[in-house]
Order: sequence, then structure tokens, then C-alpha cells
Amino acid sequence: MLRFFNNRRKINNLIITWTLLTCISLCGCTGGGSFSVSESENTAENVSQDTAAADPTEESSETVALQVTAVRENAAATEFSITDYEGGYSSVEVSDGRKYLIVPEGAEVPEDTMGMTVIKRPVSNIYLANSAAMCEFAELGAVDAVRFSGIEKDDWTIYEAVNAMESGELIFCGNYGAPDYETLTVEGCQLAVENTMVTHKPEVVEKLEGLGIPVLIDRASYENDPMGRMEWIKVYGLILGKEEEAQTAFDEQKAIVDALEDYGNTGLTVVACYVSANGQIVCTKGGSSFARMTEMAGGNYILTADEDDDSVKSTVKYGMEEFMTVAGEADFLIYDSTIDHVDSLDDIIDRNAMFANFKAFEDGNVWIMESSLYQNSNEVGTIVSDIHSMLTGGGETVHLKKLGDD
Amino acid sequence: MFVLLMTVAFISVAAGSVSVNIFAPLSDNDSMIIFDIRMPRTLLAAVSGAALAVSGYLLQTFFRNPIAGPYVMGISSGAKMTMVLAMTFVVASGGSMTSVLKIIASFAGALLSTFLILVLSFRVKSMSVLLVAGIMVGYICTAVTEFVVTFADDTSIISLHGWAQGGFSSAAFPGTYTAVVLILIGIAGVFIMSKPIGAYMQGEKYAESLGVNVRGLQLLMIIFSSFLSAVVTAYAGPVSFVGIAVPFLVKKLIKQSKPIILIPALILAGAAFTLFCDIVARLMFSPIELSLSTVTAFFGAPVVLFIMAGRKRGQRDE
Repeated sequence: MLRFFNNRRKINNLIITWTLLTCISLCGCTGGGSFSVSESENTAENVSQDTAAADPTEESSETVALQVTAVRENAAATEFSITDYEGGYSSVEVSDGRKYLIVPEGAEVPEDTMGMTVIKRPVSNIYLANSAAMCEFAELGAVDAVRFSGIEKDDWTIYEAVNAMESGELIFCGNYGAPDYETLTVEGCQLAVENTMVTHKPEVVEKLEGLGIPVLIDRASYENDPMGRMEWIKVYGLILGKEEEAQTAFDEQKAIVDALEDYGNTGLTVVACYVSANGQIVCTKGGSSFARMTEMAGGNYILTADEDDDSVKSTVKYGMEEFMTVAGEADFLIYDSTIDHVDSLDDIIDRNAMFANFKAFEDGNVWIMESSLYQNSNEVGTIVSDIHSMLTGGGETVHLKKLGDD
Repeated sequence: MFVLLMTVAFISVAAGSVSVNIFAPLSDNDSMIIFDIRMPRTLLAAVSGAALAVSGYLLQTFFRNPIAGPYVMGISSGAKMTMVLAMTFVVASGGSMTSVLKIIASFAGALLSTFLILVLSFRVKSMSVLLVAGIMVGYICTAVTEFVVTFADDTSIISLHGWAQGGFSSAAFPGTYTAVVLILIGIAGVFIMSKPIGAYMQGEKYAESLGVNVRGLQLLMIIFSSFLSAVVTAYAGPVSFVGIAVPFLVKKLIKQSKPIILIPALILAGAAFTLFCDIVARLMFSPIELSLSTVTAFFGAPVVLFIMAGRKRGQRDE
């Protein structure tokens, strides 16, 4: 053995052999990754199909083929599309390539699901890791369909969710990165609704699908149009069998936005920001959803959209010197108090004394966001109305509060 | 130590957030919990602990320094660096990270750090200087990571932070099988080297006199150590302290330095320690899962300090 290590050629051969062995094993790793995804998709289908097959009240299946009857046109959303089929079936196709077949209550699962993940109605015991969607469940009167929460009670601002957690109808089941798989399995989770954060944790999606739990990744945050973000309520309406309620909720908010179109542009500028823990100014980007809402309300967001910026980030960070240059003359400043809580103008000046030199401060036009906009994405119209009220100096506001009026 | 490992493994499979009677016939859900959730996690935690312990032992032998370990030497930092690069650029462009991409990114980063250390090892003859150089490699990787994080969106930062804490929560077959095979290959390679390592521990001159190619052996020790920690990092993220604490503890407990005896002990002890920490991480505040590195540091660091204090006291008494 010792002589072996005296021979350089034999050492090299050992290294080469070992490297080859490792590469062959890594090929198994590559196959394993994709294998687990496709296997888990089939598992999700099989769970649904087995459920259908096990139900003695259903007739023995004739072949159900999917025939397209219509492709629904979205008013604003671009990240999903809904297709209707004969027999009341529908599918949701998300821009990330994932497709979901929504099977009506009591209907057979088609033999050929065209690779789609099957979601059989009625759906209950949902694991909601995408807390931004809870407002939509509340709007649809379907909070009881959610059994597992991805955040704890204190992190909810929606009172239906808080009440449900207090009563025990909704339980915390681990966050998106580390869900409690055992509880989800034993209590029969039927659907996991995740947000795009889970794209950083593909192993979580694979694990859930491997356990037979379909995963819907909500890409509403990628919608450029705020009404497109809200239009995702139609996806949840379809899944929950509450399509009429979803359409009504969407139409109501759209009506608010449409009514403001006639007012025209006020010419006033707005900037939204907060101060991060390391002292940087985190400012909402031009072209972001909030910036669009400002324009819909008749204002102008101080930062313009960068045509070359393909990033999906909605914020940009500045040092105060640069921030003053770009936003110091904004007519209105909205401070995100849901991320960095402030109660007064002094609190903001404590963060950085240079804020006192901003035009918005001098004119007394500093506002705070009181409720998390991301947990109220079903109220786009209300938020736009709030911004409009802020700009025109009239009307009550729901989500915004003016500082300095006390 | 084998009994300890079996006991901890049994607890890992038997205990969880849901009560399952493993001595009774299992329902479909119970089977899924045992075989699809707990067993892959138990297996991955055990082999990862074994790999980290052996990896740490190799580095400590190479550098003749008890603080050397994959975490200290920048191997985990390298993996983190390439992981953040992958996360930032792939997701920022609207794409999705896949498990395979994460594994490849971690692997590439860990091996990049290894390559830098290897290059340095050919130029730097002093082991203590080389150790410092390895730590500097880690700092460079960390600096690059922080630079990229500056421009990353908040979701990527949060996800990276979560990944960097380490954990086995999403362990699943067949990915776990792949990790097991890779780690077994690595450990088998280390086992083959146990005799020359034993000679090397007596001194380089002594080893050379026995016909050991010392430079070749050093090269292999670094490669195998990095490979083992790279595999663990790829599948579970950076896991701290196992590579430092377990070799220290095992050497003190069994009072043996022969690699042929020490390596199996390290495998068993590393597996048991990591399994124990994983049990604590997932059950202590269930359903909230603690980060694995928090638990390993919480249990590992006091052990190391205690042993070092005992060692210092012993030396002073002499």
C-alpha cells in the first residue's frame, strides 16, 4: 500500500478512476433530479386518478377526452391563461410552463390529461405558503378551504386569517422553505399554493409533488399591470368553484379604477420608499406595480421605468445622496411603514436627517402605508383610489395615512 | 458508537411532528411519512455527518491543526458564492432554480475553493501559512458573495440566507441515493489511504522513509476532503462545526490515532452527531424548523471549548 503512493503514475490513475466513478454517479444525480419531478407529477395525477377510481359511486370510466371550447381572454393578466373544455373541465396554464387541469366535482379524471397536474374540485385542506393570496380567499369567502398557513398568526394582517388561526381552523405548518411534510401528509393536503420564492427551493416543490400534493406557484407578483395582479383571483375562483364571485370582485375593483380615468393627470409626483437596516434607501422602482397604480390614480411616479432593466425586482437601493437627487423634489413621499414601522415624521427623520430637506416634508405631504399592500392585492382599486385621494386632497383613505396631521 | 448511531437513527425515524406507531401496521399515510419523509432525511443526515467528520479529519491531519475544517477552509464559502451567483442571475432573468442546478452550483463552488487551495499548497510549504491562506480564500469567496448580494433582490437574499443555514428538510429519494453513493465512494477512497495517512501522521520524513509519496498523499487528502464536503454542501447547504467538533471529540474519546480505527469511529460518530442535531432542529420548535448549522454550532462549539480547556489544563499541569 505504501509503495502504491510512491508511484506517481499509479496516483494519477487512481485520481482518474475515481473521477470517472464520480462522474458516472453524478449522471445518476442529474437523472434523479428530473426523474423525481416527472415522477412526482405522475404521482399527483395518480393520487387524483386513484381517488376517482376508488370512489364506488362513480361509474366505471369511459374515456374522457379533452375538447377545447374556449380560451378565456384576460383583462390585464399575462402570467396565466384559462382554457375551457367540454364537460366543464378547465385548465390553467402559468407562464412558467406549469399546467393544471381543474376537474369539476363528480367528474371523471380524463385518461389523457396532456401532462397537466390534476386538481379535483372541491378542493380543501390547502397549504397556503403564498400569504399574498389570502386576501383573495377572503374575498371569495373561501378561507375555510385553507387549512395550513405558511406564516404564523402574528404575521397575518387579514382578520379572517387571524380569526381562523385563533380558532384552530387554520394552523401554521412551516414556512415555504421548510413545510411540515408530515402534517401535510397525514391531514390530506390537497393543494399547495406557493409564491415565486419557492423557485429558489425547487427541492421543496419536488418533495411536495412526490408526496402527491399538487403545487401551484402564484406568479401574480410578476404581473406588470396591477389589475393583472388582481386578476389572479379568477384562478382561485376557478379552483374553488367560485368563479362568479371572483369575476364580481374583479369587476368591482376595475370599476373604481375606470372611474378615475376621467380625472386625468394631476402632474404631481410621488415616491415610495423605506430605510433598510443598513441605512440604504429602498425605493420602489419606476415601472413597478405601485408606480403603475400611481399613474392610474392620476399621479406620476418620480422614477421612470428603465427599458433595459429586465430584472423582476420591484425595488432599487440608493444611498441618501443619490436618493435626494432623484427623489428630493417629489411632491409626495410614501413611507412603507409595514416594513419599517414609523408613527411620525420624527421617526423618519431619525432614520436619516436628510429627509427633512425633501420637498414632500417641507410641504407636509408625507404619508405612510398602513397595511401591507402585498396582503391586500385584491384591493387594487381601493389602493388606487387612496392614492388619488392623497393627490387631490380629498376623501378618506383606507391603506394610506398622512403623517403630521396629529 | 454503533449502538449510539442505531439509537439515534431509530429515534429519527420513529419521532416526528406526527405521531406514528412504527410497531403497528402502517396506514398509507404512515408509510409515506416513514419511508418518503423520515427515512430519506435520516439517511442523508447520517451519511452527511459521516462525510463531514471524515472531511474534517483529513484537513486536520493535512494541516496538523485542530481548527482546520471544510467550513474554515472556505470550501463552504466557495459553494455559497457560486450558489448566490446562480440564484441571482437565473432567477433575476425570470428563470427557476432546479435541484440539479443547485447541486452543480454548490459542487462547482466547493471545488473551485479546493482548486485555489491546491494551487497554494504547491507554492506554500508551511502548513500554518497554508491554513491562513485557506481562510483567506474563504474570505474572498464571502466578499464576492456579499458583492453579488448587494444587487440581488430581497427574495433571493432571503432564500440564500435560508439555504446557507443548512438542513435536510427536503431530502427525498432518489437524490438521497445519489448523495449516499457519492459519499461512500469518497469514504472508500479515504479508507484506502488509511495506512499512508497513518505514516504521514508520524511525520513527513518518516512517511517518505516508508516509501509514501507525501506530496501525492497530501493532494489526495485535500481532494477527498473537499469532495466529501462539496457533496454535503450540494445536498444540504453549508453545515458548520461537524467537521471540526467530531474529529476532536472522537480522538479524545477513543484515544486512538490509527486511521484504520479512527476513520470508522468518525463515520459512526459524525453520523450520530448530525442525526442528533437534525432531530433537535426539526422537533424542538416544530413545525418551525431550526437551521441545522445553528444546532450543530450550539452543541459542537461548547464541546470543542470544553475539550480545549481540558487540554490546556493538562498541558499546564505538566
